[in-house]
Amino acid sequence: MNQQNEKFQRLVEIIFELTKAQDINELLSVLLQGALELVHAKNGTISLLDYRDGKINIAAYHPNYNLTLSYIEWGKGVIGHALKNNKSCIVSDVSSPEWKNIYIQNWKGMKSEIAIPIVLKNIPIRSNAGTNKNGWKRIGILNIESEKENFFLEKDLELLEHLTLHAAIRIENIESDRKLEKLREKEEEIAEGNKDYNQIINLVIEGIIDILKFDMVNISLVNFERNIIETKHIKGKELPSEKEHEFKSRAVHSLDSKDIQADIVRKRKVEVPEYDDERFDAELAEDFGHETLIRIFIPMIEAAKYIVIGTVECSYKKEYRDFIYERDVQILEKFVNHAVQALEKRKKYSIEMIVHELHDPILGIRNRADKLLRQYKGMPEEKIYVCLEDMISDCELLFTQVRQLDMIGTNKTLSLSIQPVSVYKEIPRILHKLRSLIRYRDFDKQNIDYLFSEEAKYIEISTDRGKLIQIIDNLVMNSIKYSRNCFDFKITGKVEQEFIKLNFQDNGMGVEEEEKEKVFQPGFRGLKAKQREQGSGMGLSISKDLAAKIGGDLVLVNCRNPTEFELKIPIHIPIGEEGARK
Amino acid sequence: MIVFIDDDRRYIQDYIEELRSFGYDALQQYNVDEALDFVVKKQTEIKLVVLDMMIPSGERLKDKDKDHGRRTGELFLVELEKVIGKIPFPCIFFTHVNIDHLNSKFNCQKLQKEEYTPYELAKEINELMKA
Repeated sequence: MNQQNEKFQRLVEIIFELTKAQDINELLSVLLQGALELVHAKNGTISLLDYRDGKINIAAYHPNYNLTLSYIEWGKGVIGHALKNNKSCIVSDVSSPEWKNIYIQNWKGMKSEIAIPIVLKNIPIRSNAGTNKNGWKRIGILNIESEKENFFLEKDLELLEHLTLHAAIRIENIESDRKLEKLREKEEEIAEGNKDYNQIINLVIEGIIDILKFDMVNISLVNFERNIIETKHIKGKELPSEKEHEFKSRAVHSLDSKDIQADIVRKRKVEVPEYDDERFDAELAEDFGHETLIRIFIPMIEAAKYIVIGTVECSYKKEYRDFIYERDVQILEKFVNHAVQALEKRKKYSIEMIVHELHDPILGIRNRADKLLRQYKGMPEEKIYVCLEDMISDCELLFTQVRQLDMIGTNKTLSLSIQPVSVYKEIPRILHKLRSLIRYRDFDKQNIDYLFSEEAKYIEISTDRGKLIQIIDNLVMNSIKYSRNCFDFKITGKVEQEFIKLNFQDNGMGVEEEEKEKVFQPGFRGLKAKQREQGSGMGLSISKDLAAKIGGDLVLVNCRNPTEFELKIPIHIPIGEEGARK
Repeated sequence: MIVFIDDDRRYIQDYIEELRSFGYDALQQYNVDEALDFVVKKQTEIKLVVLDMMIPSGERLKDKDKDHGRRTGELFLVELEKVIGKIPFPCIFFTHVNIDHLNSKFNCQKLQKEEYTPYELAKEINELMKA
């Protein structure tokens, strides 16, 4: 009895020592030495569960020689068995019929073993099933072995369970502090001024996967014009990169549908749905093996306008962790909010750049009006005509820039205004409006060529004319702006299946091969472009976005000689329920 | 000679034409590299440089912190000073950038583009040159 009291006294002392450990290695060392001492054993390990693959990695061991394994597979051996079942076990004889097929030898000559899961118990979890629920979280396992049979007793197990319970709390606190510290670093990286949109998104995904240890992240964004929410960025080991495209093309849902993402946009609150929630797209989940995932959905809310711009879905396999933990929810929510703020800031910068560019055409109109006022009496008619033509071009520039601002700044629900459009007839109108820009660069209009197939010439497509014109405007203006001494511009059009395809070619400065993937990122400007011309870096990004909004796409086909963009527009635009999975 | 350093290819020409009507020889350079070469070469003929705060960086400033381009004009003068020493002619910042925030080490006059029509700027420069 006295001996047991002494052991309890020692247990308290070890628990106190655990609270003083500064890092995880020190803590594991104190825990292992303390446990061995309490049961008078020599051989022991502490293993930590890797949530991503279920490997139980040996993180501390004694004595530090002749260890045959560095990890145990989930559910294998006494360790894996005990941790999977979340239940301590005493193996009195490892060669007994009950255990001989389970036991995995780590040290030679061991006869008995005790394994105590290190589990955090009664911790708050988030679940749609109810509030104030508690759950558990497996952290790792303490394992002690002996060269003697029947070495471990029930009272040893009781002592060690007390010890691991306290160790679990301490490990979780240390890990949580480390996680927060790393996330803070990531947040600082996100907040750095020079990050473009995609860099911010990639950092968010890295943070959620590498630091918060989720298996998969799916960022879906709202397309207000088409009234849909669609997966734009997805990463995770459950989804190989070659299947990303297929997933994205299928993960498109009407905002009016009962789909979970659409519902999160409407309700504006974090949810952890049950695996059988009827709002899940069951077919999609089955095809991509997502039924085994436990998922959390976080709305991306722009604080300034309280608009939900998308959702972040994070998930992991329900096998190694059984719940979404409240602490992680709070960390995650804060992290997502921080990222949305960074995206807002990025947007604000883009707006500043466009506003800066607005000054030029206003200046042009004002200066020419002033010139006409002061000089029109003695001015040759031809000069008056040029002045007025310049003012019209400036108005067109202003319209383009104001439309860009509208796209970036408002996020308002813009409905599509669909009407029959002859692309073939629109092109000369656009070129005519921009003739003054062409003249000022000493370019020859004769070098502009447009060749349409017979079918493309006569087809009228149903689309949003304003948005289509804005895309073509941007592409033509870019060609003019970045052309070198000789301007050579060609537009070709053809009909392919359900689309009209427009190809824009010029012999301008082009795009560096290594910058090819970035040209559509908001705010991105190539090194050469920055050296040569000022600009907001928003034109191509907005054009691609607009193309998507009208159900098409804009891609860079060739970097230079010639620089070549292809714009693909559906002959009939798919919208709402028609363009989305219900 | 009055040199404008500005990447704009349409509006600055109006200012240049107006200055020419006042009898000045005026021309334009479009980015940092071209402008530096030109100004260094013609430094003895130049009477005034009118430059934007935001100009394309060229090769020379590509690795400098330009505050999203807002400091390129200032950095141009820094580079120029490195090459020719003390700048022997006056410089005017003529820009859309909000000059309230401009903290230049150079004692340049700062004019907002929107406050000057070509005629008004030509008058202003004319008075400056006479003084």
